[in-house]
Amino acid sequence: MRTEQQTPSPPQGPLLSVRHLTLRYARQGWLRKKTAAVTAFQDISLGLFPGKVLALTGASGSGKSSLARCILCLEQPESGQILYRGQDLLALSRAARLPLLRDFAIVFQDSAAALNPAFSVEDILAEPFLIQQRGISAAERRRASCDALAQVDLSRQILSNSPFELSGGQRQRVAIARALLLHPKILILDEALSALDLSTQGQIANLLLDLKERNGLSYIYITHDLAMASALADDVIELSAGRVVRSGPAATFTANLQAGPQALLVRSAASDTVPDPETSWTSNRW
Amino acid sequence: MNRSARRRIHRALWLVPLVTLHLVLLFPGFFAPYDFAEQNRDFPFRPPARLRFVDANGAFHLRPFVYALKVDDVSSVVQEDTSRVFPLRFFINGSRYSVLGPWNARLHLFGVESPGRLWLFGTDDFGRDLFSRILFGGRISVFAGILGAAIALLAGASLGVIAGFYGRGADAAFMRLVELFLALPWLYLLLAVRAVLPLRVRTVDAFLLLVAVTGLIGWARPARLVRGIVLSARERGFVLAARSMCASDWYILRRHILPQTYATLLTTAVLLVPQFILAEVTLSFLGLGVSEPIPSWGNLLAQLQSYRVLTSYWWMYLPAAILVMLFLLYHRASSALEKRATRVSL
Amino acid sequence: MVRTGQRLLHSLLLLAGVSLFSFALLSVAPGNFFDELRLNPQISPKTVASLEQQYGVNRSLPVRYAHWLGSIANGSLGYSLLYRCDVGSLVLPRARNTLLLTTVATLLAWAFALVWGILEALHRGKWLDRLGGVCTSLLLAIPDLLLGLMLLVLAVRAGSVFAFRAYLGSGGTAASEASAGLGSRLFLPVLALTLGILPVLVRHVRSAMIVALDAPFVDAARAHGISASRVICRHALPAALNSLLSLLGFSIGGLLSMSLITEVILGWPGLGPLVLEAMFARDTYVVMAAVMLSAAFLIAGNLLADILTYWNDPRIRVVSA
Repeated sequence: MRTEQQTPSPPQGPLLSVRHLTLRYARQGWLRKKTAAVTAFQDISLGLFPGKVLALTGASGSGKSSLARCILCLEQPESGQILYRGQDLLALSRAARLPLLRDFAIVFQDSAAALNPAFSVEDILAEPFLIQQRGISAAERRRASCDALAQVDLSRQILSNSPFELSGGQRQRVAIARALLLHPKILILDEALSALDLSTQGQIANLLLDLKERNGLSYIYITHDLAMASALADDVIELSAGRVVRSGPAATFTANLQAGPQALLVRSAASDTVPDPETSWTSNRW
Repeated sequence: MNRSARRRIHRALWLVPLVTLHLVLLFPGFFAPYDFAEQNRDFPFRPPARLRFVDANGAFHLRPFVYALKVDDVSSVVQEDTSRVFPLRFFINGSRYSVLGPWNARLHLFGVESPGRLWLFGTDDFGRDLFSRILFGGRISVFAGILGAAIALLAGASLGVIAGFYGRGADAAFMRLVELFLALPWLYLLLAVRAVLPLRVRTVDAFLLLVAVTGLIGWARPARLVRGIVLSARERGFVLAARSMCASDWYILRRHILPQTYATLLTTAVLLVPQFILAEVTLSFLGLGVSEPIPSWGNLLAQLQSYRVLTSYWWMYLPAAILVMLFLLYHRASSALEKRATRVSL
Repeated sequence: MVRTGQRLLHSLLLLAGVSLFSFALLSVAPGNFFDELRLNPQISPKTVASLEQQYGVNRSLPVRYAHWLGSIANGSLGYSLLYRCDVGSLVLPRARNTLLLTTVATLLAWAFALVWGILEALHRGKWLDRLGGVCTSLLLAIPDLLLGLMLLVLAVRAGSVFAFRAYLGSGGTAASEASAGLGSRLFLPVLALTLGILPVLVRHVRSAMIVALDAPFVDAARAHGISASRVICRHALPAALNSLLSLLGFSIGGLLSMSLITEVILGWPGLGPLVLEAMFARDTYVVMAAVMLSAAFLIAGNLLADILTYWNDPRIRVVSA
């Protein structure tokens, strides 16, 4: 089911539209027989509307992160289109893509891995400018970094620290600040809250909602946490084994959680025991 | 100064002789009293000079001195001429030497006025001062080793980075090449590569030849190490983050991946240099490296293959002592680096 | 089993690659055996040319390589211009001599290193360990070249020079050359080689034993009340020996190539002096044969190390059971 049909259509069309995207990894060893290709995801279609949060849920291995990487053009999908501002990103050359991709940013799950431990926070925040080679002076870079830190409620004293001197929450804020530096329009949160403890999760979630309002961002929120998904997101898409199995607005989504493979996740999240896959899965197979 | 700072300085004390030795070997003309080719045919195989404080008349001199040597006409026995003392002088003018290229100088750190002779380590069969020859020879041997290691590391690191970063075909070809080079025993490969080049080379070219040969041999191990580091660094989160910001390959290599290799390159360098010095010494010892009259620790040691020298002239072993001392210092350096590496990487 | 077969194939391919590489390398070498003859004014250029023709020195590279491969098949390994005989008959006895020397030295070195390394690990940090560490560092800093020279000096001083001088005079290949005499002739080179190999082995044994002793299962064994000696012998030692298996493979791999310098200095009639002579005389096939033989050993040693560690891994045995 396509998202556009379920929600009351907003005045403008989707900001980002993904159509029938398929990604496969071929595996072949030297002197070994060819193994079958592994399908990361198949025939995915979704639409992200301006100012909205789209959540992608599913068990691990269902292709969510691969989808995020495809959208950022870090992987080459087999077929499909990624339409942004009327252009298919996959059809463009790398040079033509660059100005469009500036509007995208990503925050990863593991902030300790996403920030180079040999750098200071100042170096980390200077990276987007250095990569995009905007010819901005060091003083301007510093000012922009301080502004970004202020947006994520961090003091500028943190600039001289290195990432492993910060707490998990602070690190994730630095990662978010880095993502915001070039004023993107679309922010992809790849399990950005999953590695944090509950109270920090709440704080960062609120921060993210604030930032969305203030800067007019749209989010793609990848998670396996259904509670967070329904709390933060406007629309939800559920993936399983690389296919879209369900999609709809967040409100209607939580109501349908009694059946399907998501039920397994819900029950294990709710109770202390882990349901036996053999008995509970077959009875709920859709 | 608090205790931890004092302890750190104490631990790094071995650096002093290492660095000093290299500085001395860099400017052998200044630190050696004589030129390496200066012959004194009347005085072959003289033992090391005796610095004295008390002369034949019983007078005490504050400055140590030596006597000149004279050959007795009748018995052809070499004796000290006690008639005149030659005190030790510092910053004395002596034979001309070149300092790094076209600049010449005549200042030596120490020496005695002629016809006095200060042969600190004795002389060889042509009456040449062994101490000076050791210093000049050390410059050739040690810096051939260092340059060879630098070339091997540069070539190896470049290839390793390309193979590790770009993977697939380049990596497969690289690994086969590395295995090929590592499948050949080191010394045999050295001899084989040396055999490709003309057997008899002009002494000027010999140094460059040695450097090139050792560089060609030693690239494989560092290359494999660097490739491993680049392979794992390539998958790190911050590299993916940089890629998501549309960073170019060159940026990622320069800012994120190459800095990860520096520590390993340093440890490898400190391990390689003694091996390459040894390669030069071995080649020159076998007659395939630097040859007469240019000294090198290898051809100085080659003289020990004569039975007479081996049994009668103990000072001819001194190049070996210096070599071992240098290797000890390098090993100390590499184990210190290793300890630092294990402490830092948590 | 498949994996072992794969590794074997890989090693054979590598050996073939090595042969191509060294043949190409040596053929690129400027000058050939006949240069010396050419310099001699008494020999006419025509004679030299006809000799070159006869020995096929002027044929192209692929043709020569193919001929050489054929000669491997029938065991002659090419033709030595210097000694005027089949390379095989020249190289193989010398290789046997080298193997005699290196095998004895390696066995001695391993025996001593195991004992000493384990002792050092057991008395970690105490005076025994420190003393051993100093000796090891010193030995490590003395290259084979100097070890050979030092032992030569000591032997000369001790007066046993006569043994090896007499030995230098003879060819050293006849087996009838009194095995009693062989012992005294072997003594110096074996000692030099053993001292050369020892430091690296001791260090590895020591660290392997320390890692084994620090492992949690040793603590668990002690906690169960098993006596210290039993823990060491039945628990820690096998674990340490496991990790030393690949080192054993590499030791075996170096058997033909580790002793070149020692042989040259101490006058042992092995592969080393032969290769050197052949190199100076540009006797290509002799050098080729020596390089190939030692590379074969090295590759075999690596393969052995790989197979030993793989087969000894209990996880593999469980899967295939």
